[in-house]
Amino acid sequence: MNGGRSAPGGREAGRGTTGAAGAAGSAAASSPVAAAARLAAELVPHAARWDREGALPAEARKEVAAAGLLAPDLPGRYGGLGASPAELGEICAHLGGVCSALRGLVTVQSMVAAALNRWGTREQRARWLPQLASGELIAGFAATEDAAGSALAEVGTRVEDAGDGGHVTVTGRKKWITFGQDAHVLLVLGKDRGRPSAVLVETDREGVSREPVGGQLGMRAAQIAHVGMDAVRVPRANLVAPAGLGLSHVAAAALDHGRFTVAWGCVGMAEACVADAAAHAAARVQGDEALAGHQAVRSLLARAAVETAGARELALRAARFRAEAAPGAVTETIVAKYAAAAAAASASRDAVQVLGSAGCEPDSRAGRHFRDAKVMEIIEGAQQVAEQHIAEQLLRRSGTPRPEAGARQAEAS
Amino acid sequence: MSDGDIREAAQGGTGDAAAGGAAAEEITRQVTEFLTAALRKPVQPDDDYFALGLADSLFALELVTFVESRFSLTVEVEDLDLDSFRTANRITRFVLRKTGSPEFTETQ
Repeated sequence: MNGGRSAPGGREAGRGTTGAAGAAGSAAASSPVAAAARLAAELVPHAARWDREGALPAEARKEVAAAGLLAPDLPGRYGGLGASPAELGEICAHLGGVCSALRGLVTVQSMVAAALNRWGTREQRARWLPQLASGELIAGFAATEDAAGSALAEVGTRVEDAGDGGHVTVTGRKKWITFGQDAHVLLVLGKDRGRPSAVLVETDREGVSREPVGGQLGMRAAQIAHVGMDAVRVPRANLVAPAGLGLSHVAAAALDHGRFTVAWGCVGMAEACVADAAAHAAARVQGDEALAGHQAVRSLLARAAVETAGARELALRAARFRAEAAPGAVTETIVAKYAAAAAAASASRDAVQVLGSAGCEPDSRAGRHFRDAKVMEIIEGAQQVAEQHIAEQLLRRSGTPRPEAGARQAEAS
Repeated sequence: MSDGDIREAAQGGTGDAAAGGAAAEEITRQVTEFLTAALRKPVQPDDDYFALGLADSLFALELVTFVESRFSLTVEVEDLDLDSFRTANRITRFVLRKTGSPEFTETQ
């Protein structure tokens, strides 16, 4: 009855296999991944220019949409490809190896789609998902604010009754919205009388203003914007899930999905860096010796390769948990994102080192991934936040109750 | 009692009030066990763990995934209100209603 809907932990493939979408997905086993590989190969020569110019051209976006890769894990009845978590992951690895903004496009579109697929009503799913799958609408995820980054419960954006029975007004300022410069609709996290609430806000409504962000450390082609909303009137039909559940359910489902695609994007970045470093080390001769003849260089390559392979295995493990909609899927996804962001950061750093001046050139892929990888260690949950959660999970397994507040004080004194 | 037994009982295979009661008890036991492990605090069937401030930002998602996976059901947006998941006993009523146990179909 629910074939192919995506659970918070990601039940895409688990239930998808019982529905038409799942059947299509398995019949065409690797085709979405093959499409992503072809697209990545075609687009790779352009990524440095996009980064320099600070935009992903509309034609590139259209190609991603035409290949069905914007939200490829949506079920077929909504225009998706019914891609399994592992397939979605490989798609993001291919795109992420080319350009983080390109992968970021898939991340935001598919995370908003996943949240709606999970917690939208039947009407909301029917209305929004086909347009997100086709790319007719580009979505943004608007959660972060000046005073609410990792602590999203602190958002100050207000969702208020408009007094006419049919609308609410949304007022607030959201920051760092990927593709916020021209997204058509934003999934906004706000508060309705103190209760976290999620609402879809179309950006052509009166009261929406956008401030493009340029020259930031990384993700430079992701057309990031800060977005202001001044008493923007939206229909109540745009509210997603009951008030009070906007963060714990809606935003959490979106971020869980986002972490998974970011993890795989990082796997692709790290693999690209290892490949670029190895190719350079093998070909570059200094004096009479290839760079690869130096032990120090070989060590860098070996460490980066092992860390990258480890990240890929953890990402595959997360994909298996998600495919089975297993209770550990949320945590395994955090583990994968944590490991993959770290691998992308260190592999890109080492690749730049091995490449030397070539790694510092304006068009260097390793150099660009080096900047972007730092951003990956921050978005969708900073590394330190991930560590808190991973450690907490570990402590649960110990089976020992946490000490009472009083007991803690007694221990401390 | 195995998971399979619970599902059978919860799905009203017997229609017998005693079996329904046993199913309820077993569901509550499993939910309480999950909550106690996840929150690292002994949780009683009527404890409102959200109000007690025990839940972190990812807990709701983990709880939904646990309930869906353990009791083979799907939580829809229509099922979501702040109260259905507030205590272990409420989750039990939700599971019984969702899996079509006759004595709970029209209640809660």
